[in-house]
Amino acid sequence: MKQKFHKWFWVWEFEKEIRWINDMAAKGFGLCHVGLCTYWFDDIKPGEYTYHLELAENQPLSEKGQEYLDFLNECGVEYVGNVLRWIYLRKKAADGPFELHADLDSKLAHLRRIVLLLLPVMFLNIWASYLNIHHALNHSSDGNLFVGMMNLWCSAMVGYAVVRIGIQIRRLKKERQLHE
Amino acid sequence: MNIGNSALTEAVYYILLSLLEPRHGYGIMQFTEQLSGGRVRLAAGTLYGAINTMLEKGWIEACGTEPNTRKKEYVITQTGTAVLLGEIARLEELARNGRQLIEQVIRY
Repeated sequence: MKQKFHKWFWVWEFEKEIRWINDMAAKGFGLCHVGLCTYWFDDIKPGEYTYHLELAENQPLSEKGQEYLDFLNECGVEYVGNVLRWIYLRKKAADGPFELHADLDSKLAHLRRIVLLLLPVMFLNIWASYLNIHHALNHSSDGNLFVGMMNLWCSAMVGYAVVRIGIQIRRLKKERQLHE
Repeated sequence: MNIGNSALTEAVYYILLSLLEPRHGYGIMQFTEQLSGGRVRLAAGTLYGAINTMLEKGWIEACGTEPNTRKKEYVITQTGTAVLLGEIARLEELARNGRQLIEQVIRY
């Protein structure tokens, strides 16, 4: 029977998110569809599937994105759904461990993609907060002040995410000096 | 860039070896695992990226699809073979130097 859950994860919590999805799979709830902050689960045998989440290079609906999904499918990886460029994938646990990026180079490339996604969002929010607060101070508008503060809060959260992922990138780069 | 001097990643090395015969993606994964006695398991995402980069560089080329499954197959090119031979020579040098020096040190 299909069950719907609402849950919120920050972008930098993608590892926590996939741990939660895999914990659900271990209990017999297999993710079968996703939406923004919404997860649909179907009954599966406990531990039948291992799940993975990745920020793909291309939109799943684009030609390149579809090519990637077809390739994964050939390798026994099933596409479950996507939220923008984030794709949710699963593989039968019996087919062995499920890793998409085993080597440091492709792990680094994945983290860099996430940072490149976040940076424009951060700068856009900083710029919007400047415009709103500037307008609020000149025209004593409470509405603009509120929106400006929200923008500032958003840019701080995204900035925090960028720093967290930046730390991970630095750690992997150090590792990369020693081995692949 | 002098391709003869830079090391290949383990994944790229095994992909090139696998493609001495035409193979599709999953075939490359299986062959690599078998050849390395289960030690090297190529991750699907890494494999996809490596195949595309090697296609761009002309180290491998697409050679049609497998008749039954319609999976895309790839095979190594002359350039790819030259890269592979260069890498084997480099690996041999590493192993030779390592073995010689270790033997010398242990002997004295």
